[in-house]
Amino acid sequence: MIEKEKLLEVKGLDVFYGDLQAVKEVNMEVKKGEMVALIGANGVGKSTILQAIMGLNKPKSGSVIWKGQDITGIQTNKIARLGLTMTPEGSHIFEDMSVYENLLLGAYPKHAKARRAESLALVYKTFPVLKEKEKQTATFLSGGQRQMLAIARAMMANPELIICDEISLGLAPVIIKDIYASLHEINKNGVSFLLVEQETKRALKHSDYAYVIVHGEVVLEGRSSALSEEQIAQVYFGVEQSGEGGAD
Amino acid sequence: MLQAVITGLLLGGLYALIGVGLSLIFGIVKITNIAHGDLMIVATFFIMVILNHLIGNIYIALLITIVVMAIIGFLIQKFLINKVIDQGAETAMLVMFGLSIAIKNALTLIFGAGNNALPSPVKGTNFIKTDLVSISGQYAVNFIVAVVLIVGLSILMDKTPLGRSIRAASSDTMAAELMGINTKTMYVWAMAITMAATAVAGMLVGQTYSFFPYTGTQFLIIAFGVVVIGGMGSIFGTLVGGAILGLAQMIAAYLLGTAYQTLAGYIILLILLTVRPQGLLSKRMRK
Repeated sequence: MIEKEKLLEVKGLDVFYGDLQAVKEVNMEVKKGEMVALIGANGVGKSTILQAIMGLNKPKSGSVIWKGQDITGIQTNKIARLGLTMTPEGSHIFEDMSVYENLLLGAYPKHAKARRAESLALVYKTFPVLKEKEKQTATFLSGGQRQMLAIARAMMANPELIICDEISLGLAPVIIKDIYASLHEINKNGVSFLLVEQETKRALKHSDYAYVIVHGEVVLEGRSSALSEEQIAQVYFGVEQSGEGGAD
Repeated sequence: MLQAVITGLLLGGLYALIGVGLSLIFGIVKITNIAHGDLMIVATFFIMVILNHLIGNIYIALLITIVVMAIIGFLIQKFLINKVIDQGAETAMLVMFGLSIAIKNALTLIFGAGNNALPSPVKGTNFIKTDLVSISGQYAVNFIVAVVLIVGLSILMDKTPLGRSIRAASSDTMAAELMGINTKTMYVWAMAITMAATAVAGMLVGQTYSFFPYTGTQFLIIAFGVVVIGGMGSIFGTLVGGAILGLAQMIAAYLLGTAYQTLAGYIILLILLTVRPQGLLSKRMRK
């Protein structure tokens, strides 16, 4: 099998909040076309890793490499123009703007602006509901629609990698299913994903490769199909758990 | 009474134009620009200097001043405010407070503390003069220019790609950065645009009133009134705020005498702060 091109590499990443070490010696990578999951309980540093990748916090040591280029510590807006983008936790759509304006802002980078019409057509094909709500102010969207808009806005940047922080948080299972289905659809067009997900089962189901994070460290990694929930529960709690499967 | 209402409304236009800059910067950069009034007076003095030493035409002087003020706004935002804004709005406010003092002292040093006035092509003329009401040409010009400029600013912010990016930067800085928008550059643009508009306000103020290096503070207070009444960050709110403040002052002057003019403005301000602290047309409540 031919080795796929590495898009993103994280090497020896350490992030501190004051004296508190939130992320410890994290190594990970995302290859072209892959869906990679970061699994871990609340507050173990998953989001901190994503933020470090996007330049939203400054790592103390270690590096973030995007397609061979060291992007550690450069400004978020510059990183976002390189072909990777993120849907932050809680969607962070532009509340007082219309759905359409949100999408236009997604295509802010020059290379994305040039392909704006095509991206928009693709977005509306993937999320028809956004076409219907085009003129509506974003703040009036439902929880699921907000996440769809956040993903759609990321698609408008014509990215090679979309990083999704907790996109299923607080959504109904049926909507989560829809959203993951659209992620796979987007993935089929060659876009890689780095997903943060608390639900172990869901994370394994929807990824090719997974990293399990406990207390800011990668304690387990492997092909998602080769990892079992029991294995992960075991490293979570340090003890063997029996008969306690995750929800849905 | 009709005269007071009309004068009040017209005065409100000028007040709105003075306030709109403060409102924009508060809405976009999220800082209270304490030096707003002083920067406006800098523009007024600048026009005076050009008129006295370079070109006699006030419109050309204004155009030059608009460009210069935009550059000053660019520099202030890029090299002063952007450097400290990550430390919070209070630090930025203190920097502007310092700038305000520096401007006043520098102006006093250069021009002395005396009164100055700008010439006006419409000085002494009347726009309308009947037995019932009279409207001075200057007040009419102030009002028309203010309304046109405020509508223009509103279109710029609402309808253009630059305005959209500026709004994105102010509404959610992190999300805007993730879109590839350099939010600090957007703040620089916003400040430059604001200062360009403030240059126009500076000219009208200089034509309407006599001014001296410390005049800025007076107008900062008016701008505050306008913005608090109309709603922080709302462009059209400044028109409403300006009109209410102008009306309150002129009606009080008519009924109680000019001594109560300023007081009436403050009383309206206090009442509105009690009843509707977010302002009449505030776009969003502060979280």
